Parts: sequence; structure tokens; C-alpha cells
Amino acid sequence: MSKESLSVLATTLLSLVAAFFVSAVIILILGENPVEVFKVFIVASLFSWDGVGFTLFYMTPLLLTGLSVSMAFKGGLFNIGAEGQLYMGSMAVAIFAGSGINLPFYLMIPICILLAFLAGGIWGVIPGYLKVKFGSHEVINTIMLNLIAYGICNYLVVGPFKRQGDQILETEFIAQSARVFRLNKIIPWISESVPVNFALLLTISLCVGYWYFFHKMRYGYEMQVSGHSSEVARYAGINSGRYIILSMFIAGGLAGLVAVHEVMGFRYTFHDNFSRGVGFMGIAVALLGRNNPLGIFMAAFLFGMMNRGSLFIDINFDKLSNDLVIVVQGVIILFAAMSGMFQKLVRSK
Amino acid sequence: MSELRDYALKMNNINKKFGDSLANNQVSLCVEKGKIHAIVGENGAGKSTLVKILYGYHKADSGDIYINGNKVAINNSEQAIGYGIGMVHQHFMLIEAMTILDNIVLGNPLLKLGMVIDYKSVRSKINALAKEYNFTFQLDDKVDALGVGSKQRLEIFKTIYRKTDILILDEPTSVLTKVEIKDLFKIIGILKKQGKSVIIITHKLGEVMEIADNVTVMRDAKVVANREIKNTSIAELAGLMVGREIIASRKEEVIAGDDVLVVENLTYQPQKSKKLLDNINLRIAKGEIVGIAGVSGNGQPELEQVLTGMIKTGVKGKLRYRGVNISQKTTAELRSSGLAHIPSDRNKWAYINEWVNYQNSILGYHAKRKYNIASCWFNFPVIKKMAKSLLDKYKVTPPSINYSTKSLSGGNQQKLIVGRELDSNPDLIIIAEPTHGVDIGSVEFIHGKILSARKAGKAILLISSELSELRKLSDRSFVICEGKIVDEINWQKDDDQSIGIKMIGGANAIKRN
Ligand SMILES: Nc1ncnc2c1ncn2[C@@H]1O[C@H](COP(=O)(O)OP(=O)(O)O)[C@@H](O)[C@H]1O
Ligand SMILES: [Mg+2]
Repeated sequence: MSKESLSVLATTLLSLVAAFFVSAVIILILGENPVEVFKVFIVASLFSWDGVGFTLFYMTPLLLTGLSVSMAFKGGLFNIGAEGQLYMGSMAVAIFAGSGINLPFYLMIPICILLAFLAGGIWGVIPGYLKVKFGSHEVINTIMLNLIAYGICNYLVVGPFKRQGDQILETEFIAQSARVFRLNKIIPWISESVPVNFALLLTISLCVGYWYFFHKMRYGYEMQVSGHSSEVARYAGINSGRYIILSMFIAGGLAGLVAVHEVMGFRYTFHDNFSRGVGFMGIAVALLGRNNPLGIFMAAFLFGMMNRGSLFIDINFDKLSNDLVIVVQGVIILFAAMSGMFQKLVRSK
Repeated sequence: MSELRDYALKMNNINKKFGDSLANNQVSLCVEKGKIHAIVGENGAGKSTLVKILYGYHKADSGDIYINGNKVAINNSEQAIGYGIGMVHQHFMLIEAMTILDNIVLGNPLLKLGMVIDYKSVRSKINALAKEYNFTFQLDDKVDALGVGSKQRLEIFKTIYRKTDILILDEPTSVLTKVEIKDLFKIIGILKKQGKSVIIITHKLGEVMEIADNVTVMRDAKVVANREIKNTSIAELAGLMVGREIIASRKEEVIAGDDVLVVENLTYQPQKSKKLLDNINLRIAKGEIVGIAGVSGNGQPELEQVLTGMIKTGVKGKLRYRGVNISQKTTAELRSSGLAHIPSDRNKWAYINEWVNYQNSILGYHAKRKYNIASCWFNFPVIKKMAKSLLDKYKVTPPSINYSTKSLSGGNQQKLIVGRELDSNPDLIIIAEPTHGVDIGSVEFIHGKILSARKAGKAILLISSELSELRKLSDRSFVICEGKIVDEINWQKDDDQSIGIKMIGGANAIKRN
């Protein structure tokens, strides 16, 4: 491993340790034993096959949105819009596959995946295009598009596409042929009730693809040049506008693929307001993972562990509620954002 | 001990390692009270490291520092300031949106948190001090309105205000115009009269001879000589710096061939602006170097960008490259058809900060067939081998393909870029300010490489604000002023002064002012 990546790793670990230390103090103040609390987290998420399965289940969408944010970042943009992009991707798949259309699975599933990517991608490309064409800032535009996506999806799931004869705000169930398999089909130790599914495998292969794109391919090189500096890109004959648009399209597409996990693999329908901020947590995951696919994987796994563990916090501790996880995650984000400080510490050694 | 007292500062056997590389090796420095002490050396010789140790930025691995004969430990800049040491950085530490007064007062780290500033007494104190040192300020002006020279003066004044006895200036003149340099030297003269010591780091030996009392020459992290200015010469110092006598390279006769680039009636006018290039006509033939001289800010960066395809909108006129009209060609297309470009601003354009040498060594040529498999996958073995031979051939130190380009000294960065561009086997090379902020040894090296490109039959446009560079390298040269080519230089007849007059728009322009 190079010196640079070692120092990045050390920095990230240091910010994690610091975050857990602060969280421990908070738990102490609330009157519980932090060692016990962390033990519950770890036992719940790692010490059984189902625990691992659920951790991976919670991890999958975070990994996708983490990759999404990181992809945009490589192109020089800050994508706050993963939330809107994942809603658009999921809604598109839910409408298409829930429309009563019937195709064999070997057509249906690729089409749905493509649709999810496209719908999210279009939602991502809009702010990219606006930036290139008019120079308007992508942060504002992605936030705005989040609100528009909420509005659209909310309208659709309450109105025209609501499943009839049910109180729940959901769309029609998608066709059988559009459903992807659960992992217990190939890993029999995971029980059938654990919804971790094919989307995990797809996402992991995307992590590898992401690494491959930036380390091996000319286009990845060009995208990084344009992301680092549009002036250098201009000098080197690289069309940075094209890469801004491309990176936002892929970023949006990656977020849109949450549809595979949620709609095609888990609920088989678009459940109103299902995400609850997965798109925003992607920012934290990308930040903590330092835009490196392995780092993003580990960050997403850690957050997945905490989501899994949170269920058991309520049960096991009188004085704590599962909101504790939000606090711990918040502290981690804070320290990850401050990691420039740790970097200095590591470097000066 | 008693002899130590004659020195305002003595640094003794300073050692400093960065990783495996020694930046200071048993370096000693004695600065007399009330004297101006120059430190010269090639880029990467360790000058900045030495003064940063003095100013508490870096901690020396070993060695001692004595101020007025007393041994001191300096662990951070506040302590350094406490010992009366001041430093002006190349990048100014000013808050642009604030007034000069606020910058003087607030920049003061001796100010404790929570202290209330008594502006009235501060103002009168500053005014008195400014008078004493012959500074003129409008204390209530915003800093962002100041020019580079004034900002630097303000920085120097800030250190005076903090009661500096030893002032460190790290390459203060590289950002200044000739007139501003004169002003700076006046200020340094006043500081000297007031009994302060000044340490000045510079590349320019002419300046050293003009202003310094003593000089220390560094090479390869060591001190190689200490001289009194009255007992030395530019030639001796230059020789000491690079470790060999500099041989002024003589240009060989090359018979110019066919025209490679023909520029006709080129005009560039961005929206809502005046013409930045005005009716330029030029031809560059195989095997010749055509020079463009001018005071900076007269259209040179625009000319450079228009010819390399970096600017497209607002351009009128004909551009023919090897007989083909190229006005619609993109930079990428031009590069792949044999254009190379050594840009005027290497930090802005020529490399990616976060990347290492091998990644930067293909920038602009990354799409070449030999670097790619099936035109989209990089062929790393080929790229890395090419990068390594580039670093060796162009004497980049350290010659490591995994070394961060940003951490190279200016001269070494430039050699990497020059190498990348010249080794791409171009037909036409646009070169701008190839030796800006580059040490003497690298200047010689780069000039030699440009001349051998000429000999190999390349057509070269050389835009430079250094007349000596154009005099040495170019076959024909023109003066650009306010976007127009105003005259051709006759190197036999014209002296620097008459060229200078042409550069600022002729004798009439002088009268007008
Ligand atoms: N912070 C640093 N980390 C690693 N290497 C450094 C650092 N600062 C300087 N160096 C290296 O130390 C050597 C001396 O650098 P420097 O003192 O800046 O030279 P100079 O000012 O004479 O050009 C160079 O090889 C440079 O690359
Ligand atoms: Mg230096």
C-alpha cells in the first residue's frame, strides 16, 4: 500500500476511534455502560448469520448512494440529490413493473435495472447540464430536485398509482418476473426472512467497476482531470463539460439503482417515503470512505451494522432509544469532516 | 561565546530530513546585525526549509539556533515572532475583504483573545511607525484593491509592527515587476539603516549583487560557500550554485524550412471587452524559434491560448497549421496532430496537484494509441516505463514516478512538463515563460532542450517576458503591446532600453504618462 493511502486509512480510523470515544461519553452521561452498548451492536450485527444478513441488507442502499456521491465528487461536483434520484429510479421501476406487463425474467430484470439507472440518471443529469450550460450551482439544484422528486413520487403513490383496496400508500405489486432473488437462495445459512438480495451482488460488482473505471480506464483519468481542475482539463484538451454531465448521469444512475434493492428485491412495490434519508447518508458514507470504493464499502458496512444494532438498543437498554444510532452516526460524520485535522496529526509523525 | 554576540542570528549544524531525503545537511548560517544576508541556491537546495526551521514551521532534526548569542528553542511561529523574527511568505497572509488597518492589527498573533483593540492609539502608533520607515498607506483602504507590490509592503510592515529584528523574505521578487522590485529594495535599505537584519532568498543573482552584504550559497542541502558581496561576482556565485561553470550555449545555424504555422489577421475580442489580440500576423517555419516579447498583460496568455485551441469564442482570423485551417480544431485534435504546449502558468494548467509524476507525465497525451489498449484501457507498463525514462532524460529529481508532482521544486516540475511536451514528437511547440520561477541550473537545461528541438526541425513560438531568454534563443522576435505586434526586434541594433520602450508602446507613450 502506498504511503498516501496508508495515511488516509490511519486518518479514517482515527476519526472513527474519536467518534466512538465521544459516543461512549454520551452513553455514560445517559447512564448506561458504553461497553455493553457496543457489545450489543456487534453481537446483533455480526454474531449470527441473520445478523450479518441484515447488516448487508441495510448496507446495500448506503453503498449505492455512497458510490453515487463519490462519483459526482470525482467529476468535481457535490451531489446532494441522491435522495431524489433514488426515488425517481424506484418510482419508474414500480410503475413499469407494476403495470401488469408480463415479460420473461431474463428480459424483465435487465430492463428494470436499466430503467432504474436511467430514471435516476436523468434526475442527476439535470443539475449537471444546468451547471455546464448556465453555471448554476449543483448543490442548490440537487436540493431543489430532491423536493420535486418527493412531490412527484408522493403524488403518484397517493394518487394515480396507489394500490387499490389498501390503506397503505404503495403502488401495485410488481410482476413476479421483475423480482430478484434473495440471497438465502445461494447462502442457505441466511434464513428466508432476511431480505438481503441480488442487489447486494450487483452493488459490490459496481464497487469493483468503480475502482476499475478510475484506475484502469482513460475515461476515468479524464473525468478526474476535469473534476480536479477545469483549467487543467482545458489545457489538456479534455472537455470538462462532457465529464460533468457524464459523472452526474452515472451518479444519478447509481442512486437510481436503489430501486433494485428496494422495489425489485425487498418490498416489490414503491412504499411511500421509504428511503428516510438514505441518499443523505450516502454523503456521510462517501466522506468517511474518502471516495475510495473499499473505504466506501467499509463505511457503508459500519453504518449497516449500526442500523441493524439499533433495533436491539431499545430492547436491551431502558435509558436509551434507537435514536442513539443517529447520534453516533452524526458524531462520526463530524469527525470524518474534521479529518483534515487528523491528517495533519498523522503526517507530522 | 563572545564571538556569537556579534551575530543577530546564528544557526549551527542544522539537519532536517523529509522522509528519506535530506533537505538540510549540517547547515550553518551567520547573520550580522544590520546587514542584508542573501541565501542563493537552485530550487530544492533547501533554502526555504532552513528559514522555515528558523520561523518555527519545521522542527530541525538536530542543530542549534542562537539569537544575539543566546541559545533558543523555536517550536512554533509565535515563539519565533517572540524572538523578533518575522517572515513574509510568497503567498500573502492577508484578508482581502478587510482594511489595511485591520490587517495590521488582527494579523498580530501577540494579540490575546478577548483583548479590546484601542483603535485610536493603534492608528497613531501605526502612523508614526509608517513615517519612520517611509511607508505610505491609506489605512482605511480595502486590501483587495492593492497591487502585489503593495500587498508585499503591507506584509513587511506587519512584521515591523510586531517588532521584528530579523526579517526573512523568501523569494520576494519573483512576483514583482521591475519598478516594484526597486521599491522593495528601498524598503530593505531603510530596514538596514534602522539596524534590522534581513535574510533574503532569491534566484536572481543580479539582485543579490545589488542589495546584499553577505551571501550564503546552498547546493544539495549543504552550504557550499559564504561570501562577502564585495569579494565575489555573479559568475562565481552561479558556478557555486550549480557546481559547475555555466557555459552559455551558442546557437547553431539551422536553415529554416517550410512554414508550419501561419497566422493571419488574428483578432480576439471576448464579449463586452476590448480587443485583447488585435490583427496579429505571424509565420513560424520548421527549425526556427519565433519570439514574442512584451510586458506581461499585453495579450500574451491570450495568444498562447488561442493558438493552442484553448480559446475559441471571440476569435477571428486565419490559423493555418501545415497548410490546414485549424480555427475550428479542438485542443485535443491539435495535440494529436503534433502540437505541444509548455504553458505560462504551470500550476494552473500543466499538472494535477493531487497526482504523482507518472500520472502527470501523460497529461494531454493520455489518449495516444501507445498508452491505451483498445483506445480506452491504459497500458500501465508502457506508461510507467515512458515516465521513468522521461524523468531520467530530463533530470527531474527525485526521479521517482510515484513522487507527488506538487512536492517537486519549481525547476523540477518545469523539467517534467518540458520533457512531456518536447518528447511527444511535436511539429509545432507553443512555449510561454518556460523558465518562470526556475533555478539557474534548470534554466540552462531547459534552454538547451529548446535549442535541440529547434535543431530537430520543430517550429517553435516562444512567448517570454525575459529579453535575455529571447535574445539567446530566438531567430526572429516581435514586440507585442496591447494585443498588437508593434515591431520586430533587431538583436544587433536594439539594446534592452530601446526594446523596453517599444514594449511599453513607444516613446510617445512615455511622454503621455
Ligand atoms: N514539507 C515537505 N515535505 C517533504 N519534502 C519537502 C518538504 N519541504 C521541502 N521538501 C523537500 O526538501 C528539499 C528542499 O526544499 P526547499 O527547502 O523548499 O528548497 P528551496 O527553497 O531551496 O527551493 C526539496 O527536495 C523538497 O522537495
Ligand atoms: Mg523555496
